[in-house]
This record gives sequence, structure tokens and C-alpha cells, in this order.
Amino acid sequence: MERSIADQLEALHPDAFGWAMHCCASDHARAEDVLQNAYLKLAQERATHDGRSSFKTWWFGVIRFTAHEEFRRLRYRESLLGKLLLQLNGDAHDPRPSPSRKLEMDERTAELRRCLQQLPARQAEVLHLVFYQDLTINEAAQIMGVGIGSARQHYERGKARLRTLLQPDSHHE
Amino acid sequence: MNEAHDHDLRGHFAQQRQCDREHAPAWRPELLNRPLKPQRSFMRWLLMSLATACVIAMALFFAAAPPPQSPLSELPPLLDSPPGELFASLPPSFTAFEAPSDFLLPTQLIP
Repeated sequence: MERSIADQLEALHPDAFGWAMHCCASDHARAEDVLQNAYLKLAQERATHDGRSSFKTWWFGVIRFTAHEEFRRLRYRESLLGKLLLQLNGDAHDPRPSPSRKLEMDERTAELRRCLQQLPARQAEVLHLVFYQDLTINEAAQIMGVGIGSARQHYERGKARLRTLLQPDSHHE
Repeated sequence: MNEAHDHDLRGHFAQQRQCDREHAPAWRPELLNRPLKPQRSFMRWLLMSLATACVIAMALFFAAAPPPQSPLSELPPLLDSPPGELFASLPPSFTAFEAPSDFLLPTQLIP
């Protein structure tokens, strides 16, 4: 692998993990798996940057796709047949964060996560990409695979809804 | 995009970002230098080649096999039956019955 790509990946690593966390509904263990699988795709040249978009946009698209693959795999594991096979194989995976991890998480951050999980997936995605990753709506649209108009609509609606949810008395709805 | 009005949201996300950075796994460059897995690919190609060779061999075998001979020519002569009436050995049927004449009837019954 080229040295420049490795340097870019290293610089993007913390934000890439944040994006993986968002794609995995804040599941720390799954986010680590997803990010590792995405790195493997690069190492095995199953994903290559062709220069049509910026490196960060492309890389976040790869992570998003990998998270969706992992989600489908997890859904299969949670099915009845999957559980039976897991019992036979003796392989168990608990997707919930550990109690110590829960304690470590900041309360305000946890509240934001809870509110984002109540939003439609597209709205939560575009808000994360714009506010957390500091991307433009156009770049967010490229990562999400939707048009700029659709992304802008999700962005505006998501902002309004998130503000409502973050208000202190919104928990009693 | 009205960034001035979104300051509150940006503050929330900035805090989340800080929290995620603290808990992010360490960067491991060895992940990118992991060698490819040619062994698995080689095994896959080997299996596919063997399967293809088996299919070709079976096709050639069946294509080159001689056509089957007629089974009638191999029948022994004992099974050749002489020409004759069909079902000749069976008793005559009910419809072929002929009533006897009346010469055995009692005399008083004869008009």
C-alpha cells in the first residue's frame, strides 16, 4: 500500500471510528469490527480509491457499506437458525456495551446518541456527517448515495427534530 | 446553511466527537500490511480446475462409448414360438357354446 494512503488513513482513523460508531448504532465492539473489516478491504485491494471523489468521502462510503454488510450478518445471527448454529459452534457475541463502558460514556453524549437513534436513519446520517465530520451536505450526499436535494431535505428536517428531542422536557412525551 | 444558528448542535456533536476520540481503538498500521491470502485463492482455482476436468472427462467417455446393440438379436432361439392361433390352449369361451339336440328328451315332452 502506498505511503500517502496509509498516512491519510492514520489521520482519518479517529473520525473513521466515530463514523463507524454511528453506522453501528453506537455499539463499540461492532464499530471496531466494521472498521477493521474496512481496513482489510483496503489491504486486500477489494476497495480502491479511483479519484472520482475526495479520499475522505470515498473512505467513509466504504465504512458505511461495510457496516451494512455487518448489519446483515448480525441480523442472520439473531435469526432462529443463526442462534442454533451459534450454539452448536459455541461462538457467542454480545453486541451490548460492557457496564464499565456504559459508565465511561459521558451523559450528554449518551443523550445525543439516544436522540439521534430516534431520528430516521437518513436524517441522523446527514447530521452526523455535517456536524460531527465537518463535511458539506454535498459530500454527505455522496457518502449516503442520495441526491443533494434529498440530503438537504433530510438535513433540515433532522435539525428541527433533533432540537426538539434535545429539549429537557422532551423525554416525557 | 445558517451556521450561526447551528452552534448549539455543533457543540453537542463536538462533545460526542471528543468522547469517541478518547475511546477509539489505537491506530494499528499492521492491519494495512497484512499479506494477501493466495493460498485460499489457489485452492479455489485448484478445485474448480478439477471439477471442470471431471466434467470434460465424463462427457468424452459418454460421447466415445459404442451405441447399444439390438437386444432382439441376442435372444436365444428357444423363445421363438411357432406360428399358430393365439390362445389355442385355452378352453372355448362361453359365447362359443352350442346347445345339444333334443333326442334325449322324454317322449311325453315331445309334441
